[in-house]
Amino acid sequence: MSIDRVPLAVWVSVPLVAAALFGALGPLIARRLAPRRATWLLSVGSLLMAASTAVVLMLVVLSAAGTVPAVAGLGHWSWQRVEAGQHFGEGMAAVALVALAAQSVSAVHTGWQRGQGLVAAWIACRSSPAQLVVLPDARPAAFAVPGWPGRIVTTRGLLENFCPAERRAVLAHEQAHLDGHHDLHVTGAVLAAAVNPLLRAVPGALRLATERWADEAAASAIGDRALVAATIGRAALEPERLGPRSSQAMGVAGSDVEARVAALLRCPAARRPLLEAILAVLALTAIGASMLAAHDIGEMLQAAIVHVHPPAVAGIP
Amino acid sequence: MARRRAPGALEAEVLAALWAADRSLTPEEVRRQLPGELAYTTVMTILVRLHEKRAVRREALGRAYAYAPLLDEAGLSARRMQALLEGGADRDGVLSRFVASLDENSRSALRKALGPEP
Repeated sequence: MSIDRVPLAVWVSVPLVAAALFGALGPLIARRLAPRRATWLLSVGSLLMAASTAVVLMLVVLSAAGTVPAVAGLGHWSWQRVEAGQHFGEGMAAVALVALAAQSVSAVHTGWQRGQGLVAAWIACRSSPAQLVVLPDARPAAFAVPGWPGRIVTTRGLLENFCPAERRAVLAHEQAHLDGHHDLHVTGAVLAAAVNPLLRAVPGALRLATERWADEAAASAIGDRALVAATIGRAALEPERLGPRSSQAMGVAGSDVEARVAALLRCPAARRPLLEAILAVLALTAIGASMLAAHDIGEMLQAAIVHVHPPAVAGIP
Repeated sequence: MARRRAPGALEAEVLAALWAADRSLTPEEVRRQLPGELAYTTVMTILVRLHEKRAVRREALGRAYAYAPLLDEAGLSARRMQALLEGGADRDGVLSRFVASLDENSRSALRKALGPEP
C-alpha cells in the first residue's frame, strides 16, 4: 500500500498511540539508560510528542472549521468542497477544540507557576557577590538556582558537618545541574506533560535522570562513586539528627534517593542502543505521522480553493 | 583520580571551606582544606578575587592575610532565599534539591544499601 492510500485517520491516531506508549514506557526505559542520554531522550521526546498531538488536534479543528462558510472565505476555500472532503464529524472537531483549549490553559498555567518560582529564586540570589549562597540553617541542604550566572545554595549545616571531599561532591553535583541546564530539560517535560496528560509520568522520571546525571558528574569530579553514594545517604539521613524536620513538601520522592545510591554502588550504566532507539522511534513516528496528517489536510484544502476572479488572458483587458 | 575542576567550581569550594571553618583561614589553611593538590598561588588568586567581589573579608595575620566569609550582600541573598524556601515557594519542586527528606521505610532501605558506618 502506498503511503498516499493510508487513511488520514491513521495519521491522526498514530501520535496519540505513540504518546501513550512513550508516557508508559519512557520512565521504565529511562531508568536503564545512562542518565545523560535518558535526560535528552525524555525531554526532547516528550516535547515532540506533545507537539505532534497538539498539531493533530489543530488539524482536526482546522479541517472541520473549513466547512463554516465564514472561515472558508478567509482561505478562499469552497466550503462545499471542504465538506465533501471532510474526514471528521462535528462531534470529533468539538472534542478536539475543547482538548486544545484545555491544553493551552494548562500549559500557560504550569509555565507561569514554574517560571515564577525560578525567577523568584534567581532574584533572591542575585545580590550574592559569589556563586555560593550559604543559608544560616543547621540542616544539610543544597540547591541549584539557574540563572545568568547560576547560583548554588547550601546551608551552614552541610558545610560544617561534611568533610571537604563530601562538600566537593555536593558542589560538583549542583554545578552539573547548572552546567547541564537541567532546569530547561525539566521545564520542557513539565510543559509537555501539561499539554498532554498521557505524558504525566515523564517529568518525575526526567528529574531522576538529571539527579543521576549530576551524581555521575560529582563521582567523576572526586573520582569515587562510593563516596558520592555515602554523601547522598548522609544528606538524606542527617537532617533528622541535626535539626527539626522541615515542614516543606519536597520535590523528589524518597525512592529516587534509593535509586541514585543503588546506581552509584553499581558499575556505570552501559550503552543500550536498542532501548534508546525505542524512545527515539516513538517520538519520530509521532512527529512524522502528524506531518503526514498536515500534508493530507493541506492537500484537501488546496483542492478546495476557488478562484473567484478567473485568470486574466493576455491581451484582453 | 579526580578530574580538574570547572573554573567557577573552585571559587565555590574555597568559599565553602571558609564557611565551614569557625575562624578566619590563611590561604595555606584553605589549601589544606581542599581535596586534591592545589597550588598555593591558585588558592591565593581565588581569595583575592573573592575579596574584590566583596564576598570575603580579610584581616592581617602576621605577614599574611586571614580570610572569612563576608555577610553583607551574601547575607542578604541568604535571608531572601531562606524566606522564599520557608514561604513554601519550592512546594512544586521547581529547584533541584540535593536530596529529599525521606520517610522511615526509605531511611532504613537507604541505611541497608549503604552498609555499616565506616
